Amino acid sequence: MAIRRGREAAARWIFIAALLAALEGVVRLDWVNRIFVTAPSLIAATAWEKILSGELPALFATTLFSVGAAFLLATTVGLPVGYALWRFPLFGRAYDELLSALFASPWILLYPIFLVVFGRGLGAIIAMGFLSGMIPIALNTHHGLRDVNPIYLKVGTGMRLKERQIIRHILFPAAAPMILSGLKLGVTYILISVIAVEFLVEIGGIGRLASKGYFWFNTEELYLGVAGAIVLSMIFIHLLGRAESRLFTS
Amino acid sequence: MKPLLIQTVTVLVFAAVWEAVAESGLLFAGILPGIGEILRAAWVLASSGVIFPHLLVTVHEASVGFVFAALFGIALGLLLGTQPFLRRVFEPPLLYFAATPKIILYPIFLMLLGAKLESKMAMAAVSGFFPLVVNTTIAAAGVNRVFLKVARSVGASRLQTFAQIYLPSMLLPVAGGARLGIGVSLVAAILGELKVSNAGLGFVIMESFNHFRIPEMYAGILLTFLFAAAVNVAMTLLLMRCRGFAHESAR
Repeated sequence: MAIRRGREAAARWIFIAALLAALEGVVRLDWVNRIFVTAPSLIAATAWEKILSGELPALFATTLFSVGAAFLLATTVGLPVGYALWRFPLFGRAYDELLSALFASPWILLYPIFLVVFGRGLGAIIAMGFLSGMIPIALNTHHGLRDVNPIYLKVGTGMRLKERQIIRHILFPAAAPMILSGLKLGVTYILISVIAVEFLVEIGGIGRLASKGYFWFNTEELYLGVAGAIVLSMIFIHLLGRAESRLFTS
Repeated sequence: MKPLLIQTVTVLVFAAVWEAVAESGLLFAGILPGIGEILRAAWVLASSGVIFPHLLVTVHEASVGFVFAALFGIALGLLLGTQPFLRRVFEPPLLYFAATPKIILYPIFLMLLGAKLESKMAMAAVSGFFPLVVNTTIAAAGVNRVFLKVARSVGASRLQTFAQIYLPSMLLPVAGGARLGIGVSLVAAILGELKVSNAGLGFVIMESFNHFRIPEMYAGILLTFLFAAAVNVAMTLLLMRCRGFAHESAR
C-alpha cells in the first residue's frame, strides 16, 4: 500500500512539474504575450525579491492577522450562540433555520455594506470574516450538542453528577468532533472571505497584491498574488485536516 | 410558541431596530438609510425597468459559465470516478483547490479575456466546476459493482452500460452538484461584476456605491439576494422532481 501511495504522489508531483515546465516553455518561446502570462521562474524571482525586502512577509502577516482576529471573534460568539441554541430548543429550532438560510445565501455580496459601515480598512475585512465564520461555528456547535446520545446524559444523571459536571465531562467531549469540524469550516470560510475582500477592495494583505498587480500591469506581481493566495489556502486546509485527524486518532 | 412565530418576530424586531437606528441619526445618515427608503429605491429600480437589462447580463454570464462548468466537471468526474488510479492521483489536489477563493483568479481572466462578459463567464465556469467534478467523481465511483458485473455478464455495450446503469445511479448526486454549481456560478459572476464591469447586477450595486447613492446600493443588494433565493428555490424544486424520477426508475 505504501508503495502504491508513493507511486500516486510521484505521479501527482510529476504532473504539477510538467505543468509548470510547460508554462515556462510557452513563455520563454514567446508563444504568448508576456504582459498576460508570465513564467514560473520570473514569479519565483519576484517572490524572492519581495521576501528579502520584507514586503511579502508583511502581506502574509496582514492576511493572517485578519483571519486570526476574525476567527477569534467568530469563536467567542459562535460557541456560546451554539450552546444557547441547544439550551433553548424552541429558539434553537427557529434560529437554526434562519442562520442556515443566511449561510446558504450569497453573503459575500454583502461586502459593500461592510465597506459603508466600517470604512475601507481592516475593520470591514475582519467583520466580513467574522460573519462568514461565526455562522458555521454556531450551527455545528448546536448540531453537535443536539445529537449527543441521550443515554450518555442519563448515565451522568444516574451517577448523580451536577449539571455543570455533565456539561463538562459528557456533553462537550461527546460533541467535540462536530464542534471541531465547525471550527475547521469556519476558518476555511473566513480565509476565503478575507482574501476575496482584500482582492475586491484592494486593501490588506495578499489579495491586495493581486489586485495591485493587475491595476499597474505588473504581471509578475499579479501572478505572485494569485499564487500566494492559493498556496496560503492550501497550507491552511492541509494543516486543518492534519490537526483534525491527529486529534481523533489518539 | 412555534418556531415560525419566533422567526417572524425576530425579523420584525430586526427591521424595527434598523429603522430606529436609521431615524435616530446615531450613524451618519448616508450609511444606514431607513427601510422605507430602501424599498422605494428597489421599487424604482424594478418598476422603471432599469434593473432588467443588468439582470439579463448577469444571467447570460452565469449560464454560459455554468454550461462550461458542467461539461468539463461531469467529463472529468466520470474519468476520475471510473479510473481508481487517476482518482487517487488527482482528487486530493482537486479538493484542496476547491476550497480556495476562486475570485483571486479573476485578474488573470481580466488580462486574458478583457473587462466585458467573457471574464465573468470564466469566473462562473471555474467556480461552478468544482462542486460538479467533486460530486460526479463520488457518484461515478459509487455505482454499485454488482450492477456493473451483471451488465458485463449479459453482454451490454459500453453505451448501454452508461445509459442503463451509470446514468440512473448518478442522476441524483450530479443534480445535487449542479444545484450547488449554479448558485456558485451566479455569485462568481456577480463578484466579478462588483470588481470590474460595465453591466450586470454587481455593476448596479457598485455604481450606486461609487456615487454614494446608498439607498440604491442597499436596494441593488436586496434585489440580487431575492433573485439568488428564487434561483435556489427553483433548483430545489427541480431536484425534488429528479428525486421522484430516480425513485420511479429504481422500481
